[in-house]
Amino acid sequence: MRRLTAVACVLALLVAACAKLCAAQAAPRMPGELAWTIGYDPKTFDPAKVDDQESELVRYLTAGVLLRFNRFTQKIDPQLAESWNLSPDGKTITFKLRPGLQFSDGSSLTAKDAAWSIRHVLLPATGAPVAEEFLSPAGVTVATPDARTVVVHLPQRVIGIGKVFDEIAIEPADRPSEGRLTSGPFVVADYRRSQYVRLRPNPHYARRDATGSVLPYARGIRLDILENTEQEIRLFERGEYDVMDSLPPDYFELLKKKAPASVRDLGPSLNTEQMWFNQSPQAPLPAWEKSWFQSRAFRVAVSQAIHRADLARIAYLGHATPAYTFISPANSAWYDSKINAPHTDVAAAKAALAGAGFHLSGGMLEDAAGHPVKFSILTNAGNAARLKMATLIQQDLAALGMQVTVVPLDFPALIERLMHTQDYEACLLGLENVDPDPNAMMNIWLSNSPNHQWNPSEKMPATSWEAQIDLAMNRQASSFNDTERKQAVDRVQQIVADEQPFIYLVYPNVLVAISPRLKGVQPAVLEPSLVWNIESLHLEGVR
Amino acid sequence: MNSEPLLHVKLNADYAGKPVLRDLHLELARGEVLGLVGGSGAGKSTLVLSLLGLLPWRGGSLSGEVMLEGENLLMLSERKLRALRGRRIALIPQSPMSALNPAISLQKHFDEAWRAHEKHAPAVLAARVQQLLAEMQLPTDAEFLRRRPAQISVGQAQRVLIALALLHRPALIIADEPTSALDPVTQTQIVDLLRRLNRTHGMTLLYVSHDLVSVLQLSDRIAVLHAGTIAESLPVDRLAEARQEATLSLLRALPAPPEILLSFRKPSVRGVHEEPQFQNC
Amino acid sequence: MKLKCAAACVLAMLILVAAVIVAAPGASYANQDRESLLAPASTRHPAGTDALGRDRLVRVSAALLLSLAGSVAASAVTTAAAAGVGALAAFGPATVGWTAMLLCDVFLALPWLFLLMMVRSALPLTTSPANSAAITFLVLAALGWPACARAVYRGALSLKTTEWMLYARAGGLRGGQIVRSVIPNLVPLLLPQFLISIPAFVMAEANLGALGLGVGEPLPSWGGMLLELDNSAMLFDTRWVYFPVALLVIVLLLLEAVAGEA
Repeated sequence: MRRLTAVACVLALLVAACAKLCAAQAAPRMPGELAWTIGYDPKTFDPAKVDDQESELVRYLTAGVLLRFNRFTQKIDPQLAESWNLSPDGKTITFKLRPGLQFSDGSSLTAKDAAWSIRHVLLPATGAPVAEEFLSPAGVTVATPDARTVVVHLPQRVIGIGKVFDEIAIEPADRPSEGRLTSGPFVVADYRRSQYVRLRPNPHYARRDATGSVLPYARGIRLDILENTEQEIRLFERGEYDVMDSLPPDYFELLKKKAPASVRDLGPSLNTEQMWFNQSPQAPLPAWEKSWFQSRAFRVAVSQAIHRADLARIAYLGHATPAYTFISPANSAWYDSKINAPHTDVAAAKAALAGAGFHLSGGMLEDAAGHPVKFSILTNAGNAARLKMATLIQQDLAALGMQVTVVPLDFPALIERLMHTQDYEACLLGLENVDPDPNAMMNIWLSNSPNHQWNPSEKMPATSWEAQIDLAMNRQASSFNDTERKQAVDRVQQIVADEQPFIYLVYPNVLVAISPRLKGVQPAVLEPSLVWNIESLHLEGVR
Repeated sequence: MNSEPLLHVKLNADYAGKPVLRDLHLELARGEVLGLVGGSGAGKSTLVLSLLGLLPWRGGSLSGEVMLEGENLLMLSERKLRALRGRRIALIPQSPMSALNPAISLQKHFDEAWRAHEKHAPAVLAARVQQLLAEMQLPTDAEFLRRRPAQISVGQAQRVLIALALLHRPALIIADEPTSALDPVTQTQIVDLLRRLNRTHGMTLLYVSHDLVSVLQLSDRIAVLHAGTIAESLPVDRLAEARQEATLSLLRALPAPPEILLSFRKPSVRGVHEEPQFQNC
Repeated sequence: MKLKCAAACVLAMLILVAAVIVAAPGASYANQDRESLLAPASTRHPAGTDALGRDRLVRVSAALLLSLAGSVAASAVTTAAAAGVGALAAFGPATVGWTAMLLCDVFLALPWLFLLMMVRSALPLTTSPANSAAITFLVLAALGWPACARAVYRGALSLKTTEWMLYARAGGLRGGQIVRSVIPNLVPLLLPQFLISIPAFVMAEANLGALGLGVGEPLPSWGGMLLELDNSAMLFDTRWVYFPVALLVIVLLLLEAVAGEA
């Protein structure tokens, strides 16, 4: 009996894995309906309260907005607005609405509704996360000189203000409906908790395609709530789903073998994977360790010892791009190919360490005082690619004589150490960049920010280079001139490349799968990368 | 001669709230063999445990007195009582196989029993064990002593237990149905052995049994235990004077009249009784 | 009996082979051959390589040795602790026995997974993989004793009422002597407990590893290798992914065979 139980445990693992695959079943598809999956239940359908990725997707698909940030061209397109205009001091925005706009129930959409929607998200009582992007929301005033004009006046200039309106859904004044009454292409039709969200087309949607046909083309959208990638792939192969985004590299490769026509590697994303050393003077670490981590030579040597090409090739099966700075080549407006960053050069790394007083003793690197160089790299448990990268770096740094321990921690424990106790030596994590504008990274680069990870909430910049980063970041935030902003950001990139507070590792590539039956897809690197032009998507033969 | 009896018992015992022994009187003279007879449930085992002060271990309680050599055992602390057990008063238990610890060797049994009361060098013990084994007609070689209880016969086990009981030359030995688990031939051998011990060492023996035949083979006197008290106590040669129904029914159950059975006895034990010689004193 | 001997022999052979493989010159469970990832079997890598180009055969062998050594040690600790507590509870005063068994119940009721996670997150980060492996097994041992102690307690209680125990008292043996004489009698009870605990600990370590709480990289563990099975993409790439789990099942069966019918 006992013998059986032990073996049964192992078999149960296998059976569970099989069952997981076999049990996959999607809801029946309605004719012309598009379908894909979301990872979890949207936390809210109220467009003003959106704070999570899946709610944001639903808002993107349903909400009418004054301006749309085009995910493909990375430029701002007017949507409900016919035109818009920003005053030279950057404080007054004037929108002119299209004529004859209607909500999905047929009632007319006027400047009154737009003004109400903007004021609604600015009210502290609403608790809209978008409000803080106005910097001082309380001082914002909204006026409606006529039924088609909306004038927004800001107390201070906001960088990239146009994009902020991409997140403000225009709802009927005083009748917020949680997505059931919209001015966008779709309307929330049905929601079954932990099963699916169904959207139906907005019959009064104003936009037309080039031939004058009604948009959107699709007869509906079903978002199945499913977090299991294996099941998702199984169902995608069966044609139950039309798109899959953020595929893990191994599943991408698997799918490539089975359906080579459907997968696409869109190249580097805006996201970065990086590691950094804890430079906080308050960290409960021995003084000599802090002095290593605060030493530029040490950080540069580590950076030079890491074989980024191997990380991309092994941890991401080739579906990542070596990274040397925080602006990805996918960010067409801000990328700078002329940044001079340390590349892989083990000999130079050894020389730099020797120059800084480090020496080898019986195969183990020691500092000038004879302390062996041992440290741990934290990463979040459950992320296979990060664990692999950390293990590869472990071996790369062993070549310098450093003894590295890899510690995967569950996310809350990791955050506790990063944000509160500062009790860690090095950390390997990723940063998701939704907004291509580097202004969105202010909270990471300013030395007094709590998100300034390597040394959070500095009262004064701890080093001269951190002071220079502060200066350059503030310059890009205050400048009216795009060239000057770009120069300031380039300067920050060069300082970061020289000092290596973040050792950038790779940009994971955007890996997607698109059913050959789905027409009209124009994949973009920015989210929602495959359905950003949802109005134009349709299944083959159904229009 | 010391006129005071070796053992004087006046006892009430309760077991699980029920009285088991009621106003039980018993006396044993030095060198005497008293056969205590009684049917099952008469209280024989309870009496044996009471005399050793072990009744509390089985959840019973006692009142009265158990005077051994002028000392009331019931008044002694457990520490003092332990020092008496095995040294002044020893037990030959009922079922030899289950009375030996199955996991340790015979040698170890002797070692532990010796160490319980003596600090002398092992050489003294070795000589004593050799002497006892020879006396018990057991093999004396080291191989035998290395055996575990499961590796010897029941008869041998009972002899080992008798040897263990004799180890510290106790004043009183209580034999609790020592033959009941044995085949008839071995039974006779054990009874002979006990008789010889009584004769040669003047060992005082309380022989507890339900089997009147073996009692008659061995005892100077019998006491009949019935319903928790001594119904009648008689020397074996005056059994004809028995008046109590308990005694009479026992006698009626004998396969032959007691006189005939007594005539089969080996040379009289009473010879010793008449000319007391107490090597122990 | 015959089966048991055979199982023990096969197990000994496996351990010997694994030891030879791990000790062979040039064998390393951590060395990454970055040019042959998830490679099929070859003369250089008889069981292929894993996703980081590490030799699967060496890793499986090292995992086998590591988990067996850890489990045997943990089992010994558990059994010794259980013998101590069980015997103390059975032969000590009633209150001690009662308290000890209450303690056992409390231990059995503990959310041990949570406890393990707590212990793991309280460890200093630079704890080397070998030390954290040792601590993992120690914690497993610390959590494993109560069930075993209960069995010992029951066994010792039944001994307490045996004839020979009463006879030992009648012979005037001291309390300490009596407890000491009991211990050899517990061996038939303790030995199976010890043997049964070994596969249980192997299994527990594998489960912990699959949760990312077991032995840390780059040390190999069953759990880490079982995790590969969770990834159907990998299964598609190489059949050698099944090798560790197959060997684990075999080892568990052998261990159970050795422990069984004891």
